[in-house]
Amino acid sequence: MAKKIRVLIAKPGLDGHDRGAKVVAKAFMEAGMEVIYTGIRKTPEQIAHIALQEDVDVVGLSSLSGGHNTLFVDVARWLAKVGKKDVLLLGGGIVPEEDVLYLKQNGFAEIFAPGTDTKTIAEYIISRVYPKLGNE
Amino acid sequence: MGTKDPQKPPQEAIKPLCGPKDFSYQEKLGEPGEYPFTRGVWPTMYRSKLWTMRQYAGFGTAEESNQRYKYLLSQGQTGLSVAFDLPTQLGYDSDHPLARGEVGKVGVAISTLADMEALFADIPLDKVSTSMTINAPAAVLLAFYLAVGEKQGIAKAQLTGTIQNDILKEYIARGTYIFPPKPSLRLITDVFAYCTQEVPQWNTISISGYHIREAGSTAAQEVAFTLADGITYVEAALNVGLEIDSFAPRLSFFFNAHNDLFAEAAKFRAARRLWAKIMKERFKARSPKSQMLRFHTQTAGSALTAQQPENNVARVTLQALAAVLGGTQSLHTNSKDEALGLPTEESVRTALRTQQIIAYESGGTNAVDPLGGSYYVEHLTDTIEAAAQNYLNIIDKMGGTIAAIEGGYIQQEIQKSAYQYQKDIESEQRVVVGVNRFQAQENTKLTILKVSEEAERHQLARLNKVRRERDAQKVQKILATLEEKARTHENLMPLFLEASHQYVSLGEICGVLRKIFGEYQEKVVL
Amino acid sequence: MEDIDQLLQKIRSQNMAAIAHAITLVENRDDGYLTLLDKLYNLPRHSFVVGITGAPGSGKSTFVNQLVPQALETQKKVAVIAIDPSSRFTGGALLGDRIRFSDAFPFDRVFFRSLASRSSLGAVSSALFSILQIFNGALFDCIFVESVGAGQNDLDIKDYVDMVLLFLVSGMGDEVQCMKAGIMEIADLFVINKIDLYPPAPLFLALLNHLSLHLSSETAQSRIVQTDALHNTGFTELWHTIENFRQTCRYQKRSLEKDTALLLKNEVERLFTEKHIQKKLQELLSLGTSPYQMVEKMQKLLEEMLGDPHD
Repeated sequence: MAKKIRVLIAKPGLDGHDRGAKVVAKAFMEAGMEVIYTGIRKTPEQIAHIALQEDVDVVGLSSLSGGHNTLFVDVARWLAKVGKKDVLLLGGGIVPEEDVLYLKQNGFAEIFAPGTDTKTIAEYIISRVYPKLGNE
Repeated sequence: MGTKDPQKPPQEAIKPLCGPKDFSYQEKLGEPGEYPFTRGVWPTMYRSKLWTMRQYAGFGTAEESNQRYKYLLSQGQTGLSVAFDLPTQLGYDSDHPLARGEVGKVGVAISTLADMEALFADIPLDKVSTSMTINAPAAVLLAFYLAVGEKQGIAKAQLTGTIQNDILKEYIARGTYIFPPKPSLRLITDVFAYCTQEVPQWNTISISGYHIREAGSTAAQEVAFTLADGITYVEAALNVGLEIDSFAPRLSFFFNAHNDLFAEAAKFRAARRLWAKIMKERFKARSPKSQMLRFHTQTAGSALTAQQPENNVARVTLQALAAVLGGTQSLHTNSKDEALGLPTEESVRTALRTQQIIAYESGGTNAVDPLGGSYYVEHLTDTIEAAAQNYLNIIDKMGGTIAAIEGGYIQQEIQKSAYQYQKDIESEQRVVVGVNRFQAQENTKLTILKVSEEAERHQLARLNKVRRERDAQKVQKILATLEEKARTHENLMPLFLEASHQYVSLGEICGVLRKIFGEYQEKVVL
Repeated sequence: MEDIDQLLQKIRSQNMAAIAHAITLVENRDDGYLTLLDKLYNLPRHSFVVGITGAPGSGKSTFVNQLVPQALETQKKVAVIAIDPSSRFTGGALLGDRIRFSDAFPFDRVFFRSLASRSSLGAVSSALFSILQIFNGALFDCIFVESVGAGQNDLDIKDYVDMVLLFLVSGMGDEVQCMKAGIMEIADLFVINKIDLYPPAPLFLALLNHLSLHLSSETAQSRIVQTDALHNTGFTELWHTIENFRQTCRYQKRSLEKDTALLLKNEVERLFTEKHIQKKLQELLSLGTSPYQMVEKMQKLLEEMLGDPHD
């Protein structure tokens, strides 16, 4: 039987705009993934622990508040700290280009800009996670 | 009359040709400045006075925002609109652990009166009207503003402006809530009652559909859920014994202007007519000022694209025109670079110029309600009004807006529309130029404004200084009194004002209120 | 292949990452999962497992949120397993129970895991049985299992847990619903929730009458607890009642025979969703004309697989 990709969609920080996070969560579900959504206002520490307990393959962070350089990188640090390994770390939201570079240097595989097709993101995840799960 | 199906892609849901049978002038329109105000709230509209051009701004420290305000005023802007950072919006001081990385990011950080004084330094508050996007702790920020006014020697009765103060749409769409509905409504009605007596020219609430639309609702849902919120505020005020015509004239609204020019113009007209009916028939308001829906508009942030950002200037122009044709009282035009980050001074200027071009060059201001009587626009107005009315009926039957929010109904309806919108784009049933059609290989690189890390340090330094220098005993005494009075039904506004003058911080005040009122638990529907 | 002994050791020493990983291993039936479960199954029983069931909207999630802090006062480690349905069309799932779960609990003492029901109830039940072994092996003191809250699965939960809490809301038709056969029998404790919104009296009376058929009125009334999950009232009493039950009744009796039957039942159900079985069934379909014939053929097939029942 096909193994399921487990994804955590999380909103670090105080930003309450969750339209993107929810749309993406639903789209991933329709792409056959098991999606856990944290709700808004989570700390990086909480997100890391949730990722660990839920044993997800992917952590997708969404933020529109401009705090990504601090908050996203804090999540990466906390994931390492709690011992959550082998996780594909993704970001989405309003992230200027130079910050994208910075985030990629700090553990993020990809940052998706507003307007990215949800299918594109889902395909990207599948291409990165399936080989690891041993699915064909 | 059919209702517009929000699930259908826009074109198929629209009647291609409308005729004289689609509207009745006497019943549906009436004269501008008269009930039901379909054609506008004033008889002569922009012939006598243009809308207020009000660009939402604020970032970094109070000093940096103060500079931006002065710049905007020097460029011909006529009102200020303050954006606060997220910690402030959630009632946390800049030195709270949860504020880390967020200080000064989406707006200015205000923790004490000292920050507010710096924000309005050299701006005489009797010469500008100030709108503040603040909700859960709105009463406290209003108190800070009144205190700045007092320090400038300006009487409260002379102050003009608006606080958003709309907690229901925070639960529905925007997420910056603190307290549960009941105590939140109490703070709101405290503001209503206080301002009716002390700050009579102040708009005590800006009932906002903007964020509901940004969260993905349709135009009809935007009208419906906004007016449903409005109904709840009116009921809350009546419940605490306020008289309808004493507070209703100070209620104001805030809508989104999206891409569909005619539907959006119609939406504003529909909202005005529906609200007038609700006020007159449901709440028995007699004063025309209670019946008229006055509103601010902002162009749709979610319609901006990160791809080919210069295209956004064209979008903003159409959206702003829709707002003007729909009879807005004030307007914010977004900058082209806002899907990428905070707008630069240059792009903010272009956005303001867009309004000025519409006002002074387009001729759109020469006649009152220039679209009135268009078969098509009247049909759209009727359609949106009917769809909104249908939602209001459902919400009433559900036991009101708060019940509908707590049951997750409103959020669910919006999410369905948001998901459908995204699917329509991905299936190309909805075209977004530069995104799913007419893409460019290389996107234009824009310069983005970055908030310096220095801002956070500067803000923390000032906060520390304030904490050191204020009278600690007085602060403790006020906080103790607050804890006591928060448990009663007494109006808290005078105490907030007293606290402001003693430099009690926003976080300290909200901390006490959190303890007494508790915190709202979000109902998430997926 | 994993080093299963090492994994087992980490589970025993309560390593959270290892527990999380072992759950995935079992859910996905990855290499070595049976070896691990074999070893876990024979460990002494430690965890007390509370199943929580009730109609959707009765407030189960909020309820667990209020119950956990009560449990933490006396228990060292608490686990929560929340089951949500998978989409039958896409196989994906939105696991939403986490959202309502408080952020305030210490992550080193509370382990929350969302489970999707995946291909069949049999699949999730099988996984659930095994996941409980993992938490037992990790010496979790108390485990709350929040069921999907619909249908057959709710009756089945009794087989996996030591105690069943049935969640009811007065005035929502539960008075009638709960009198139906089945659901009443599996519950050890009845929780009338949202007493702030709906007067509990009619439901309370209906329950009391029903329970009094078998129990003394004193015992009967002690089996009914009233709570208001939103305002956090009634939970201290509820936890005391659970503790009481735990001390008097302790664990549900288990046996090799019973557990084998349980797993086998789940396996058969799960097998029917497997691709090659589905294909086989499709082949059979071309041979018959009525569903009765089909079922008879399949029964024969199964009997061949499992042996003659009349032996």
